[in-house]
Amino acid sequence: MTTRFKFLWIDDDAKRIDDYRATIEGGVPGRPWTSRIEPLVVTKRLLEQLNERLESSKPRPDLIIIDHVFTKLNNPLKLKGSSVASLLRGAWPDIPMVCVTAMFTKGGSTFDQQDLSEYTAVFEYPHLDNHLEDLFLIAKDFPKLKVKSSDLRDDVISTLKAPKGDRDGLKHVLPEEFRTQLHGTTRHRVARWIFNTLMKRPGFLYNKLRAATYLGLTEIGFEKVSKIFERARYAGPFASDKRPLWWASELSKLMYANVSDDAPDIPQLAGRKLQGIRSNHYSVCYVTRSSVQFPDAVASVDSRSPIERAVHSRYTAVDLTDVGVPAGFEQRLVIARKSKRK
Amino acid sequence: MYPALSDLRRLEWETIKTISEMSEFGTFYDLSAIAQGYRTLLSKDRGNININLPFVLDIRLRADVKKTLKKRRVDLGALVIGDQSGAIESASYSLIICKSEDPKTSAIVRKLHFDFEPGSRRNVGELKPSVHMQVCGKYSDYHIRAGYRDSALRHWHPGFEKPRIPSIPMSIGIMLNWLLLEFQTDRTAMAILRHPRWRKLVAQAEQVVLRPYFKAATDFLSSASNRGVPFVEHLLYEVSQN
Repeated sequence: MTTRFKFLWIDDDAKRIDDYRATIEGGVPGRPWTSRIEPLVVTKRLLEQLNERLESSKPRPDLIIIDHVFTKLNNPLKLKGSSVASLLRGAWPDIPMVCVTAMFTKGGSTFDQQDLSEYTAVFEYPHLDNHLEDLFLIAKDFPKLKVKSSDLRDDVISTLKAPKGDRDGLKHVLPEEFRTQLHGTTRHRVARWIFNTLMKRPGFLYNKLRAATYLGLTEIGFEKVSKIFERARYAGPFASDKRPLWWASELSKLMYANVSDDAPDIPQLAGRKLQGIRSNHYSVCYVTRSSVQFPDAVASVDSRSPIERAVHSRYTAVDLTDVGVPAGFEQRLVIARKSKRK
Repeated sequence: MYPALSDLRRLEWETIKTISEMSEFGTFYDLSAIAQGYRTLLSKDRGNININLPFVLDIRLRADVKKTLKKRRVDLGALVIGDQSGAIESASYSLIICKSEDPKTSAIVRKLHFDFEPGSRRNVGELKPSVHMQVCGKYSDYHIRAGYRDSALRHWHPGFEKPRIPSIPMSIGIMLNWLLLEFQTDRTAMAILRHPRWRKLVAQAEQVVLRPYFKAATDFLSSASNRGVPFVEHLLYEVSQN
């Protein structure tokens, strides 16, 4: 059955909404989701508009999309999307809010940490198509983050469907604020942490390249044996088919349960003993092009690039621009040497 | 053959700082927080070294009935005592690996000590390698406080101090790195081992701790005056050549 979501899009540029309306309303290919966009084109009557919308919007939206900077607006109060998010949250604490902005591409500096903390996620305009699935996942899964018991950390961990072996570790690394009193923005903060930290930073969860490299395989090799690792697939909030993730500890556990007793203790070598794996499935180091000196790390090709490659750790360096790495997560590495030393 | 106390102290201080700052240690239960605590307890410039680091590793042992990973408690400790002149009187790096996670109920799979006791501090005729590994050994006060039971150790006969096996000297970084190399089945172990900051620290520790040891060994073995003199007896046991 197809679910039709309602998205409220607050922007000072009606054309921007129109540009994306058909794409977003059409839903995600292969998923039973569509949406209806309800636009709110802001004017200098912004506060009144918000009040009117709070009263008239029935049913309430499943997701609010907000532009960050209202450049077309005569805006003496300098209200930003984050201010609007904060105001709306008072009335609608259980509706997720995401930011759509062109500030990244324009090199704008109007984002500060407080702004970012108002949104569950920030997506770049004009590359919104890449995040179509994310919009629907946030709308669909945000209600699951409702606090049920007296211990928020237990609630989060159980919602994540974390493997037993990772639960204590997760309890240790959940942000300090989740240990203290709950407040109105708790659900947003939890969503933000799941979406922006747990799912984006390697540590507990690995993407396909990292999962494959961890097992000594190429991504194609990993696909060959991926059935074995179905139980390791992340199935918690915002789990995406487009960018699947696996619990790293479960990869290890399931791999060792599927190789012979005398398999090597190094996961990169043990993974190659899985049934169906041939030598052309062995991971290859980006620098040496060798599968014998197997890659044991995944690193970015440079600190500005999102492109990552499997590489032997001896060719990596810490990415010094990656500061404030939360406990329990891995620091970003960059490929420091592009060729073997002569 | 063994580093000076001041060098070792600086090294251990740096190691603790690294453990407390590297996010990758965050999943070793309280290890980051404990290391953070030692940053104030352990002086870089004076006093003895007394560190105890408990953590849990996913370890696969081939003798396990279920041939997969199991969480096992590990305790790593260092107790280095200096005299008033700043020389090392004794150093003991200890390791306990439990069969399961809780030291109060678990059997002990391995208990080892890596000790240093200079020949000048020993009684005449007390034969032991100055740097040695001892199997088992007694609990420290810290172990008792952590809940380890005498009954878990009885089958190891902790009173039997011999044989003491000649060994390389240790530091917290060298020992932890060795453990992680042994137990790469733990996914966090992999992340730490490949981290450039950790690799740099280990290389630094090897320079401070292993270089004097191997230099003394190389000098002894390559010296013409030692030709025909047994290395183990004279250098490692520090038995006088006269």
